[in-house]
Amino acid sequence: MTKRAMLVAVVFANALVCVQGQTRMLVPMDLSQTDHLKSYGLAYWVLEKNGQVDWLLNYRGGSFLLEYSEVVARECRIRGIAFEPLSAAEAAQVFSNVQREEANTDVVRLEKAPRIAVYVPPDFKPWDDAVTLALEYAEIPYTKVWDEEVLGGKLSDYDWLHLHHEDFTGQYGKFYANFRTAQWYVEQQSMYEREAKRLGYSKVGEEKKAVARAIKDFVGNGGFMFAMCSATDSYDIALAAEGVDICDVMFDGDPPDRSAQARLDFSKAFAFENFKLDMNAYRYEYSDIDIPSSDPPPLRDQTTDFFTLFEFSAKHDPVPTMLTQNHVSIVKGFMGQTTAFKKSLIKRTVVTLAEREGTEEVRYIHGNFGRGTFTWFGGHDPEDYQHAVGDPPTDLSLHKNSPGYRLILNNILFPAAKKKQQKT
Amino acid sequence: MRALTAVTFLIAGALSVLVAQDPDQTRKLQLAQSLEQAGEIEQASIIYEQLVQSDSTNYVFFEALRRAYVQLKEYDKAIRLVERRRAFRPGDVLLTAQLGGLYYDRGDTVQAAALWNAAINEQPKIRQIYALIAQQMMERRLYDKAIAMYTRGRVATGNPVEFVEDLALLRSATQDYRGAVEEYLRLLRSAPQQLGYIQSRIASFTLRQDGLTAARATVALEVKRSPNDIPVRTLLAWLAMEQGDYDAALEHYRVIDRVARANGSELYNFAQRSAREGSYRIAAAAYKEILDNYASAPTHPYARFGYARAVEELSAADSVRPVEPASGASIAESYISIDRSVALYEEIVRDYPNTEPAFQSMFRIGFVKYTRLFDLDGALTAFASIRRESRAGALVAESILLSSDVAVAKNDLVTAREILKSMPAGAPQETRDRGSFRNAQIAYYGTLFDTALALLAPLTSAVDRDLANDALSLQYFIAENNANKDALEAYVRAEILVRQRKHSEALVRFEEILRTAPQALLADDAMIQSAELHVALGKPLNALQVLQKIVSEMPSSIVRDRAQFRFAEICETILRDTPRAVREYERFLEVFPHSLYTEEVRKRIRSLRGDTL
Repeated sequence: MTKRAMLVAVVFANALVCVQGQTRMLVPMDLSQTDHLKSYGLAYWVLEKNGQVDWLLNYRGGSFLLEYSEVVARECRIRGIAFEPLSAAEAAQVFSNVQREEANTDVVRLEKAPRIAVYVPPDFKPWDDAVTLALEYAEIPYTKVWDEEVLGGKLSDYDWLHLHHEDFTGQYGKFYANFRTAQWYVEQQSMYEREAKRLGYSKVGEEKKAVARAIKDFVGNGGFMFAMCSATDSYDIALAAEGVDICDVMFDGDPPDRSAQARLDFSKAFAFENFKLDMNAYRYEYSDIDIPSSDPPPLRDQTTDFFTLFEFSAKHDPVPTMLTQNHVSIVKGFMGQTTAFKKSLIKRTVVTLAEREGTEEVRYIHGNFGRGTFTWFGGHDPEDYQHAVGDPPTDLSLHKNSPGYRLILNNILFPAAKKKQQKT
Repeated sequence: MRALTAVTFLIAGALSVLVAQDPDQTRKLQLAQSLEQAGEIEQASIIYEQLVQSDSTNYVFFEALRRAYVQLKEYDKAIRLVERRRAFRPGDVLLTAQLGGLYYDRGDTVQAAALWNAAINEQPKIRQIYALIAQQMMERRLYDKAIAMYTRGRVATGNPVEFVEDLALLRSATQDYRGAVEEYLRLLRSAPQQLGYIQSRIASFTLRQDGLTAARATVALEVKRSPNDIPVRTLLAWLAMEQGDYDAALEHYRVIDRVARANGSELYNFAQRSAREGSYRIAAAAYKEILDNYASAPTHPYARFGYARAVEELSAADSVRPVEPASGASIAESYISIDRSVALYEEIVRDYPNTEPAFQSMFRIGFVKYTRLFDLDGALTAFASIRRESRAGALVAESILLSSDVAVAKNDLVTAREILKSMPAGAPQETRDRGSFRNAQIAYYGTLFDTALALLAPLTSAVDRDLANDALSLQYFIAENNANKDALEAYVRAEILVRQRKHSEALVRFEEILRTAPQALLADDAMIQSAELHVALGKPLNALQVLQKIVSEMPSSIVRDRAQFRFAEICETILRDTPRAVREYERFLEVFPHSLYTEEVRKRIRSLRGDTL
C-alpha cells in the first residue's frame, strides 16, 4: 500500500468513528430500500476505501451492514440510498438473528473491492449492454478491455470480467440476414477483420476463439466471469469449436467444415453439451441452446413472462445464495438474442440459479472452472423486454429497484467475499 | 433510371404471373411461405420445387426456391435452378450476378469471378451489371472488391459521378472517411445544388471525432485547390462549425460572400445561424461586417437588428467585463453595455420607420427598459407604440401583456386592467390565458380576493394548460389566508412594492407583518419574501439568518425545505462558498429526504463535488 493510500485509509477509518451513539448502519435491501442499485455502488465505494461490508444473506432482501460514520451516512443521502442507523445492541441483535442455526440466513464479510474489466469493442455505447449500464448507474468503476488486452495477458490485472454480448463464434452476431448491407454492420465487420489481421489471425472467428481460450485461462486461474445474452452460448460454442471452422462463406470467405457438428468437443465448453449448431447464416441463432429460439422471434406476452429464483442454503451454499439475493423471488422476464438456456443441454456440474417454472428454460446459471467461476444470465436488458438494435438506452434512474439488475450487481460484489470454508 | 426501369419490369412481371396463378398454386405458395417463416426451410423447399415444376416461368416461385436452396446451403441445386432459368432468359444480368454469387458461396471463387467478368465483357457499358455484381460482392463481405467493381463501372461508363453514393457509403462504412468525402466532393462538383443532401450524408460519420477531422481536412485540401468554389467552401464552413470553430467559419463566409457577390447575404445567414446557436460574439462580428461593408444590402436593416440583439445578449451575459473581441471586431466592441443595445435599437426605429426591424426594435426597447433598466415610463411608451401598430403582429399581444406588468409595477392597477382589455380576440389561447392570469393577479393586488378566485377558476380547471399550476398556487394561497384578511392585505401591499422594486420599503412591510401577525399562516411566506429582498439589497447574510429561522423555528411550515434549499443556493451562487454550500445541501438531504427538491439537491452536490456521472 502506498503512503498516500494508507493516509486515505487512516482518514477514512477516523471518519468511521461513531459520533451519535450509532455504531453500525444497515442498508436494507427489502422493499423499504429507495435505490437498490446504488446500494451496491455504495458497498463497493466503502470497500474501495478499505472499509468492510457485511452482506447479510437472505436478511431483508440481502442487506448490507456497515460501520456507521457520518461520511458514509452522507454518501447514502447524496446517492439516495435508504439506511438505518443501529446502536451496538441493535447491531448485535441483527447479527444474532442472522446467525441463528434454524434461519436460512448468514453473514458474508466483503473485504476487497474487485478490479473490474468489461470486454467491449471500441466505440461501444453503454446502453448496448445492461452490465455497463448497471455499473455506471451504481457508480462502480470499470476498465474496458478488448481483444488486444485479452490476448496480451492483461486480464490477470483484474478480478472480475464481464463479457459484453459479443459473438465469439466469428459470425458477427448472426445479423447477416437482416443487416448485411447496413452501414453499422459493414463497418463492424471491416473493423473486426482489421483487428484480427493486426493481431496476427487470418480470420475473425479464429481470433475470437483465441480470445475465448484466454478468458478460459483467466477463469481457470481464479478469475470471475459474468456473461449475458449471446456472450454466453456463443462463448461456449467457441470453446467447443476449437480448431473447427463453423463460419459460412459470408463470414470468413470460405465454406464451413461439413463435419463441424460432429467435431465439436463439448468437454472444452464451460456450461453446455450436446447442443446442435445452427450454421445457417440467414438464421438469427447460434445453436439450440437458446430457448425460445430467436428465429423466428418468439411471440410472448411480457405480462405473463416471469422466472423464479432458486432458494439456496445461506449457510451451506453461500455462493449461489449471494448470486440470488433479491427483494423478490419472482422476476419479470426479458428477451435477448439468447433469452434462456435449454435445461437438457446444461452440464450436470452447473448450478441453476433461476428458471422459468414448468418449462425447459433456465435463465441464470453458475459454475466453477479451475480456481475461478462463471455466472451466465440469459436475456439482454432486464428493464427493456425486447431490446432491439438501435433502441434508446434504458434510464436506470427510472428502475432504481429493478430485481433483474440486482442480479447483475450481486455478481460484482460476490468476488469481494472473504473465502470461508464451505460446510458441505 | 435504367435500374428503376428494370426493377419496375421485374415487379410487373412478377405481379402478372401471380395473377395468372390458379387457387391451388396460391394456397401452396402461402403454405410454403408460412413454413419458411417458421424456419421449416426444408419443407418449404419441397413445395417450392413443386411450384417451379408446375410453372417454370414464374419469377415468384423461382426466387422463393432459390432463396430456400441458399438457406439450406444446397448451392448445387441453386446453381442448376438459376442456370435453367438463364437458358430461356440469356440477357438477364440479375441471374448472371446471382449465379456468380452462388458459385462463390459454393467455394468456387474462380468460376464466380469468371462469370462476373464475362457478364461485364459482354455489355461493358451497362451500369446495372456493375451494380448487381457489386451488390453480390457486398453480401459476401468483399467490400474492397465491391469498391473496385463500382470504380470499374465508373470508368467503363465514362460517368465521373457514377456510383458515387454507393462508393461513398462503402468507404465510410470501412472507415475510409477521406475516401468517402472525396466521393461526395465529386458529387458536389457535378451537382452543387445537392449540398444539403451531401451535408446530411457526411453528418452520418462526423459525429465521430476521427470522421469529422478527416472530413474537414479533405474538404480543406479541395478548397486549397479551388479557393473560389463556393459550394465546397460552404461545406468546409459547415464542417468548421460542426467542430465548434466559428472563427474559421466566419473567415470562410467572408470569402463566400465576396466571391458570390452576395452583398452580405451569405454573411447574414451565417450570423443568423451563429446567433441561433448562442454564439453571439461571432454573430455580432458577422453582423458588424455587413454593416461596415454592405450598406446597400437588402439585409442591412435586419443585420442592424441582429447586431443590436447580439449586443443585448452579450451585455446580458456580462455588462461590465470586457468581451473578447471577435476577429475583425474593433476593440471598442469589446466594451458593451445594455445602454448600447438600446441606442442601437433606437437608431433602427429612426432609420427604418414602420418596418419589421423597427417594430422588433421598439419591442426590445420596451423589454430592456422594463426588465433591465426599470425605466417604466420609457417601457410603457415603447410598448404603446407597438400596441398602436396592427402590422406588428404577435408583438401587439406581447406588448399588451408587458404593458400591463409595467402598469402593475407603477401600482396603477386600473390602467393595468384596462390595457388587458385590448387583447386581440384572435390571439392564441396560451397568450389569452396569460392575460386572464394577469387579470386575476391584478384583482389580487387590488385586494379583491373573491374576484381573483373567480377569475382563477377557469384557469385552474383547465389542468392541461401551462398556467394551471401558477393559477392553482395563487388560488391556494388566497384560500388559505382569506380568513386573516388584514395580514393578507398587508402581504399584498408589500408584494406590490416588490413589483415596484421598492425593496427596502417592501422589506419593512414584510417585517411588520411578522411583528404584528407572527401566527398568520402566511408568516413563513413573508419570511421567504424578506430573505429574497435581503438578497436583492445585497445583504445575503441577513437572508441566511431569515431562512435559518424558518428551518429551525417553524417546524410546521410547509416552506422549510424551500428555505433550506435557498439557504444552500445562496451559499453556492452568491457567497460562492462551495464547502458551505455542500454542507447545507447535505443538511437538506438529512432533514428533508422526501422533499420535491431532493433530486435537484443531489445533483447540485454532485456537481459541486466535481463527480463525473
